[in-house]
Amino acid sequence: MVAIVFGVLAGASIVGGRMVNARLSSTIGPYCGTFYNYVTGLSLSLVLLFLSGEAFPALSLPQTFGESGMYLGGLLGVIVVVIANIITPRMSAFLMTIIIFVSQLVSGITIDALGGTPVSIGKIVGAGLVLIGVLYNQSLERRPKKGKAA
Amino acid sequence: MTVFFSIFSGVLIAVMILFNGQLGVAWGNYHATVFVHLSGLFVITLVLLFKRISLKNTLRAAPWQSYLGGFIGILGVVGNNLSFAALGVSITLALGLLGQTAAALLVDSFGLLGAKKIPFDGRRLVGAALIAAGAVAMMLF
Repeated sequence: MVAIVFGVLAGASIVGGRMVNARLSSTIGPYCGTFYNYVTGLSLSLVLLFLSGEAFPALSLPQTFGESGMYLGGLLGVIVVVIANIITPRMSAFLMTIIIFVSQLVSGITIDALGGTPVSIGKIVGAGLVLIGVLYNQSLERRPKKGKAA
Repeated sequence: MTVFFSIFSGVLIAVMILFNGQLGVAWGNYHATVFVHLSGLFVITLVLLFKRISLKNTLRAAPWQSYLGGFIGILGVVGNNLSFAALGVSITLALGLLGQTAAALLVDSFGLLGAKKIPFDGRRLVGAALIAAGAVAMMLF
């Protein structure tokens, strides 16, 4: 249950973070904006680490290619930001959002399957429902309710 | 080409959830979050150097609150890691889409975080309900 709440909160934080960063980026540009985003993120995560008292992990050099992947998440995060900066001005937000979401879910199910979690009917039907919901809401944003729009 | 980049971006996001989640399991979530931000800062610094973008005059260019977006991003990393450890990548992503939809609805309806207020449209709850139902189906079946 806690995991579910945090999963939803993580998604919500993407929206919040993106809005704050968009305002900063509109003034100083997306790359400088991303730089400060990591500076403040790192600062607070150091404070949280200190407060948490979490034990220092046993560090070891990765023995296999598979083990080294876990050190690359931060790199991937920046690549995602750079790609977003390249494609956002060049394509419709509607299409981009839908493609990225479809790709995410398909990749997620594939990764889980490779990790040993079998692909269930529920996963496929559920992912389909998620996408229909996203598609529906995105189409509403494109065509706001008549008469009520400001 | 933009379509290809969009697909690629979605794949990277899913792989990122996996990698960050694995690091969280191996190191503990707080050490992992520090490392994710530290390595990200390193990479974006390389990008700035490569593109010859200067940070000069950027620190006071915007209201100070605008610089705090990184605080919110921490919740993203920690939240995804906690969810990944229990539920795996695909359900974490589905829950993330639910959170994004709900947050967008709240932000628009109340004009939060400086957004332009858009009157509440009840039909958007239908989409949110579909996404929630999908996430539940992914967890249960």
